[in-house]
Amino acid sequence: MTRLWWTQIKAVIRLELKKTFFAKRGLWIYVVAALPVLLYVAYAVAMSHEQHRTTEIAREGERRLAYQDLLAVKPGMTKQEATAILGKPPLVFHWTERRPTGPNSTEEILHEDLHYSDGQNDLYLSLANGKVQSINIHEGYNLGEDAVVFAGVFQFFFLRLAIFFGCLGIFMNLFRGEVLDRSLHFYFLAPIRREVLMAGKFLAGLLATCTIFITSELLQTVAFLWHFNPQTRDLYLYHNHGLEHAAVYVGVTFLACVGYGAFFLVAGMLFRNPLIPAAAVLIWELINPFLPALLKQFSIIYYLKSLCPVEIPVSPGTPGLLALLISNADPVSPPLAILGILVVALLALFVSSVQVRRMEINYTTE
Amino acid sequence: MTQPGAPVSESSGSPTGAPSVPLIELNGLTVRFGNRDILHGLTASLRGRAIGLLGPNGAGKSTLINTLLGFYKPTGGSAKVFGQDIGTNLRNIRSLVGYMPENDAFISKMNAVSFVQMMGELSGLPSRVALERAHEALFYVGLAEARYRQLGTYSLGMKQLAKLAQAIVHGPKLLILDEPTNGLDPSARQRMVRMVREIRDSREMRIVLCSHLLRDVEDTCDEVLILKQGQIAHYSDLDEERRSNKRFVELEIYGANGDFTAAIEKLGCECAVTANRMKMVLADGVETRDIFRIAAEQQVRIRRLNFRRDTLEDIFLKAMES
Amino acid sequence: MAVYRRNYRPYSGAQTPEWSRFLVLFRYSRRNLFRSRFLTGFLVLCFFWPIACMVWIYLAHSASFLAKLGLPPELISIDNKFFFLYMTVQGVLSFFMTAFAGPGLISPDLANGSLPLYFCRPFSRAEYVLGKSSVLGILLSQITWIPGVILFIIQASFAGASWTRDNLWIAGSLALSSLILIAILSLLSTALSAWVKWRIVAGALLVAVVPFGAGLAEAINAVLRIDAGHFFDLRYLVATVWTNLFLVDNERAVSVGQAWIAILVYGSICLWLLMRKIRAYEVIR
Repeated sequence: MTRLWWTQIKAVIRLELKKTFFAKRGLWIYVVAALPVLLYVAYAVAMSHEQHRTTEIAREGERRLAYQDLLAVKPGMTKQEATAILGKPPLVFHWTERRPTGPNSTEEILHEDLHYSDGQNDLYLSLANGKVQSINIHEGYNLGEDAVVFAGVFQFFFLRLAIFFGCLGIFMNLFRGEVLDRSLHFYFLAPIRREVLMAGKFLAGLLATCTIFITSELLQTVAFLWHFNPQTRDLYLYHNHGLEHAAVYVGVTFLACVGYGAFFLVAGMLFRNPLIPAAAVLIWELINPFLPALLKQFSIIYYLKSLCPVEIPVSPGTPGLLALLISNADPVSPPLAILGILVVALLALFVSSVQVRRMEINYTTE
Repeated sequence: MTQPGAPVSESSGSPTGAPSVPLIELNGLTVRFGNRDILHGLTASLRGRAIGLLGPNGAGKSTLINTLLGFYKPTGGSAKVFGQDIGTNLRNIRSLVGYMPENDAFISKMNAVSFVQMMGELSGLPSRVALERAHEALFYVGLAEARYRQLGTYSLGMKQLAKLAQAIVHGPKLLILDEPTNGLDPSARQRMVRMVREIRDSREMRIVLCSHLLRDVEDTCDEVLILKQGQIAHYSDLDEERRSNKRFVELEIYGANGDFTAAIEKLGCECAVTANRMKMVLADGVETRDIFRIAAEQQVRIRRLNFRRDTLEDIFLKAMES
Repeated sequence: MAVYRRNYRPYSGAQTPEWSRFLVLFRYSRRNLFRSRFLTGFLVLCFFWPIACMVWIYLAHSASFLAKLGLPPELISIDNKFFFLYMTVQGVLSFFMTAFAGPGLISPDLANGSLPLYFCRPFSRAEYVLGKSSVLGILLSQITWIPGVILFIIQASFAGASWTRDNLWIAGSLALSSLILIAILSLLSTALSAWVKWRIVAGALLVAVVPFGAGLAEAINAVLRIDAGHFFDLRYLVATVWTNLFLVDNERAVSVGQAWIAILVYGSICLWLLMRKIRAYEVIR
């Protein structure tokens, strides 16, 4: 019997995968998954261009500068003092300002903007009449900072929005889509147990979402690391837990697909209108930080956030409410988080299997 | 409140009883989608009470109707309905037309009365009048018992009837029916055809019926335009055809020998004999009584005499072959 | 004529004016919409905040209440910030109301192919869109500017002529900010439902598109270290225009002019989508 079920599950998976991967109505999921990849590709292109520019400026400079040299210049220094540290500037812009000092008198101020680079970071010095007025250091790529940005985009965009809505689209469509297409009765008339059908559909959905979103996640990592030089990349990947983080992100993506997938599968069977559960879950996930500890456990994002390897620092200017959203006050341990998601998913699948047995087809016009 | 659209002359101007104002005039009408000509330079003047549009699938029948209703813009030529140009007087034309589309077209969460009433109101009927006429139209098409049911629960045949009701609720001068018998079972089809005939015979509305079912057109129309690949393959006035084909005679005869055929041929008629059937074309001046006379002389028994005419199927097939 | 007589009867009576035909659609669509008990309940829910604001205005002018609390009267001030907060909350509720009510207006017509029935009559596409949008327009007006203006009138009646004279612009801001919101939400929901044709999918898409746009905007800004990502965030753009209308100090990364232009561009895209999809028959080339 188990062998027959497994054969049937494989058949359902085969049928469903074709529908899920090549359906015109599912094209938007590819777009959603591709957006962060495109974003990092754009970033890599911009950074490569920027790197090329700063290297050019550094090479045109009188001497080779280090980051410490850029920090050594202070406001109030004279031009001579500054150039003594930094050398002759590779780029200079100057203009004269006539500033009125009285009814009939004006004062001439010579403004100079000096631009230096250490090959990675830019230094802009604004001088007025030969004295440094303001210093602006524009820092180039910084892997540490970029890793935090990556983590932020992963948590707040990819996980909460892209995977959330992607799973909503795919898993809701498994049953609700068939009702809309008036084709579910073909399955129900086939000699297949409904639980087996449900399992097949769930696994097909899981396979599709995992393929789409894990591929996206891996491509994001590749695009994110693309513009760094090989030494920096190796240092990050092999010595700063980069590889480990990438693996964790893939794992979290998988668990998100499992958790959200199971939830939306059951929601697709319980609700005719996915809008209501989607909006409810979206709001529930959003208010999760404000919930008591017990209620927090009934949220998928709570466990997923606990598994994320990089903590997003709350910047000092962040409003209290947003700061609460960003921080994960009492994260659970990774094994418990994984277990939590699996338990939530199993619970949802159990409800689905009960629901699918009771399901009656009523093809009313929408 | 304003008065309904421009008056339409209904006076009979032709010996067949067809009104003098052409119902539809096409002057080199061309419709193109992308690189494909769907309708290619159609020119015709249709005056019948009930005009059938015939043609195989993809011939351009529905496109012609949709162009007349202003859904598609002509890429060349022009067309007039009741003498009004579709390019400039579309709103006027639409106020004179009732249209029953081919595909499913309804509002699922509405009962038939509300649906037909709304359509009446959109055509310009005051609310109270629209309600009264909605009931009338639904009674008329035979949906009286089911008129408070939601349209989403209707069977295909009932939906067709509801579509017909919404098309006539506002009292149009022209009723355009696009495949009205599509998907109907034989009895429902007969009912629909009977109703179309009733509407035609009431002389209150003129009808354009678009179908690929020859029988439906034959049963209801007096004029036929056959389209093929976006062009007019044939135009036929069915009444005229019926009259002119009276000289083709078909006999079922018993006890005949070669003398009977020879005697008939002597009258100048062309004959063809197969077993006990004989087909002939009567020569000018020859009447059927002459045939009966010869049969009596030759002691030939005539069991049946039919005036055979070309059926619409013959006309259609000829048009398709040409 | 009695309805039981199965005879066809032509009509030659008076007709309603052509300009008023879109109201027919408005009337029927609105009736259909309020068949949903959920929507009726949600509409009632949307009045809670205006009522709370009304109570707040009353308390702010109740000297005895403030004295009981030991608060100085100027602590609870009813000013532009108060009305801005009112509009912010009602704006969120309007968004959800649109998500529930909007897609049900057009997508069933498209899904059931009923557009040819509308357009074979003397009834244009513009009238159709106007008729359908006006349902949302009236519905959202009921929960945005109408209670807002009532609140303003209540406040004016308490605060006197001088306050009213000085703050009359707030009433204008209430109306204008609501109109912007109503216009963009109506266009967005009708365009999305015309595009996807399925009511429930259109609703889900509307719920997704705004938070997704906001998330995408933040991601773009964070990764590329720019502010241009905000142009993808409709919520941010509307809020930028609102802060300007209510003269609320709030540093925005996008200028008011840019926000206006972006909103107009989004509106135009929605209109273009609508006009492409709202046709009797779609031409497959």
